[in-house]
Amino acid sequence: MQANWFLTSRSLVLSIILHLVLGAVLIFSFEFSPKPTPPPKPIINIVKATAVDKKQVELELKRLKEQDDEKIAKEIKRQKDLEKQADAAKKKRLAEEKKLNDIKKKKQQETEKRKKEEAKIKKLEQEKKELEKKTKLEEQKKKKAEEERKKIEAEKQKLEAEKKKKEEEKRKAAEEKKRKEQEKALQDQLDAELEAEQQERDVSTIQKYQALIIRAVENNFNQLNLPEGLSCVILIRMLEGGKVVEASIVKSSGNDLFDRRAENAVYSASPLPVPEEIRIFEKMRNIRFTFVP
Amino acid sequence: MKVMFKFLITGLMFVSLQAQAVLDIKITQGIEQALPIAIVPFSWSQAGSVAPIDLTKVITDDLKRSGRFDVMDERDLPQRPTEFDAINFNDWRKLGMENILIGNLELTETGGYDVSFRLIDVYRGKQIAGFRIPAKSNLLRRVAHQISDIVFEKLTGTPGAFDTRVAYITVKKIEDKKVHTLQIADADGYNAQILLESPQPLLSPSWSPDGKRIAYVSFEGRNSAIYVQDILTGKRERVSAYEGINSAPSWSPEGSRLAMTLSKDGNTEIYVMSLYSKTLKRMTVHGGIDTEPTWSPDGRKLAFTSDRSGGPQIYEVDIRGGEPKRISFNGKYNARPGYSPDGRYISLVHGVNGSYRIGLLDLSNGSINTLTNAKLDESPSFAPNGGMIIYATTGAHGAQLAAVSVDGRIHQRLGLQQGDVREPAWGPFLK
Repeated sequence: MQANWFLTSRSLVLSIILHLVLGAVLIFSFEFSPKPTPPPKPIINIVKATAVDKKQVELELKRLKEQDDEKIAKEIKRQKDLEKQADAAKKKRLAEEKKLNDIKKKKQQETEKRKKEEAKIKKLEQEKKELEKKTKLEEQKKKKAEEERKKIEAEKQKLEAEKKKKEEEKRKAAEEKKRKEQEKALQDQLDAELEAEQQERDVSTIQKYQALIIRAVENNFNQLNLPEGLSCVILIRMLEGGKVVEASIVKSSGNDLFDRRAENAVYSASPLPVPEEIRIFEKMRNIRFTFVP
Repeated sequence: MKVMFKFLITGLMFVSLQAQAVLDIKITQGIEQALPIAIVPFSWSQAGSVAPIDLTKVITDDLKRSGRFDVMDERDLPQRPTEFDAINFNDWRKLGMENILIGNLELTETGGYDVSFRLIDVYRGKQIAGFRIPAKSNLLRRVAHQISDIVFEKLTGTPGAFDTRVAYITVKKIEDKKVHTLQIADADGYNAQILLESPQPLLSPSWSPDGKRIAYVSFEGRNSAIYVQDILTGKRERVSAYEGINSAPSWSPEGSRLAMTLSKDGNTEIYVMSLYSKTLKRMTVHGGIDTEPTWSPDGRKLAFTSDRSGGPQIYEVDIRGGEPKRISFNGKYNARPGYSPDGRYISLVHGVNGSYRIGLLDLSNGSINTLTNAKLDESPSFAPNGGMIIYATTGAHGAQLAAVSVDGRIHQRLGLQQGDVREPAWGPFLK
């Protein structure tokens, strides 16, 4: 900065000087301008004209005058040339100065330029470096991303594989399940058929004993003097062997005597005829008698 | 909480399973047989001395006579409890015995008696009925009948008619002279009382609905006459002594009128007499014989015997008047009608091939069911509970009283009286 200021101030001085000079030149020029200097007239040697007359005299006078004039003019011209020379020298010096200045300037400029370029280069290098760094980073990033991507991909694949595996397992399980279900259904069907057969046998056994029970109870249901149109429901429980251990009127006929006779019929018929096989007996351990004579 | 809930659900399932495992059986018919009952000899407070009455025997006879009970032989009793707590129910259940009657007879400090009894439902192990009845010695027999009535009603559903009386006519020959008597006795024939003795015939006793008076026909004058006699006081009143026939009095259900047969107008016709004013309302106008009127239980109709269609048949006439309607069409001889207490049947004498039997006319369909099988049965009269019909039957030893259950299955001879016994009339329930 200081250097710049110095440079600037030197340039300022120079420029001031230059201006002063130019100003002076201009002032000088202005001083001359009210007395225009006619261009140096060509020196003409009148030798041939010999007529001496007034005219001649005048002419002569004139010629003399002109001669003087010429001398003056010559002086002026010389002065002028001197001036011109000084001027030119000055100009030359100025030009040289300027040239020097220019060179200096140029040099400075070049230096600056070089500096600039250096800076630029430096900057470029910096930039390059940064770019490289950046590139490197990006590459790293890229690499990392790639790795990440690969990792994800791998994960994805893994998941996919697992999913597939799972689906496969699921499918297999489903198939197994289905197979088992089919097996079970088949077994169930077989069981059901067996059961049905058993059931059928049981039902016919139960029906047989049911008929025996009906007969036994009816043979003990004394309707003597009972009013008509009555009905009652009695729930009974038996022990193995058919002994009635509990009888309860679950729906009364509304006539105590009728209910009692019905209950007595069941008790009197006890033990009721029941199958020996406990499994079947269990199905008829509880009987709901509806008395509807 | 959760466990409890689970438990509850399991419990419910169990219950529903239990509920599902019920076999349904319908009982659509039964049998009709005498009801089993065991009568345990009543205890007697003065053990060592003889009891004033054998209650057990009176009750046993009552129940047996009704035909509705199969009374266990005393020798077969598995135990002889006289108190509820002493009953071993299993012993009785094993024997299939459904009902037991136990009781006590006690002499009281005042010289009277207390009779207590319990009727037990063996299978339920519960008392069906139980009472303590104080009585003087002369009423002990009646108490026994009352117990029979309670047992009968509890086990058959209809009131018993043991504690009722029967009126009848006897004819005896004493020293070649006929003696006619009007008597009343307990329904089992005991406690007979003579209300009237007459050398002339007595006929057609009819009870007042309150059981306090009896109307009858007596020939004690030259002619027949209708009398009404108070049972307790013996006071009697001749209510009808018209010229000609005065016969077949029948007391109206409300007790203020007598239906009767009179021939005062030239022909035997049915009349209704108001007992207060003695005014008569003639119910029939026909050239044939109309006789033996009897009131329907609701008092709206009279049934009577008429030969207006040839032989004797049963007719009904509205008490307000109108043309009689024939209601018996079965057989050539139907006479002596008497309504059942429920008004659904008419008992009658039904002639079949020269035999006269007790028949039951079913008013719902006109059919006649013959209940007896002898040669000469007459004068049927319903017991007030409608379960039995008492009648007179003439056999080798003369006329006797007999009874038949309305289903014709139970036949009883009431052979307690000497000589001919005729014209029985079963009295009303005693109040």
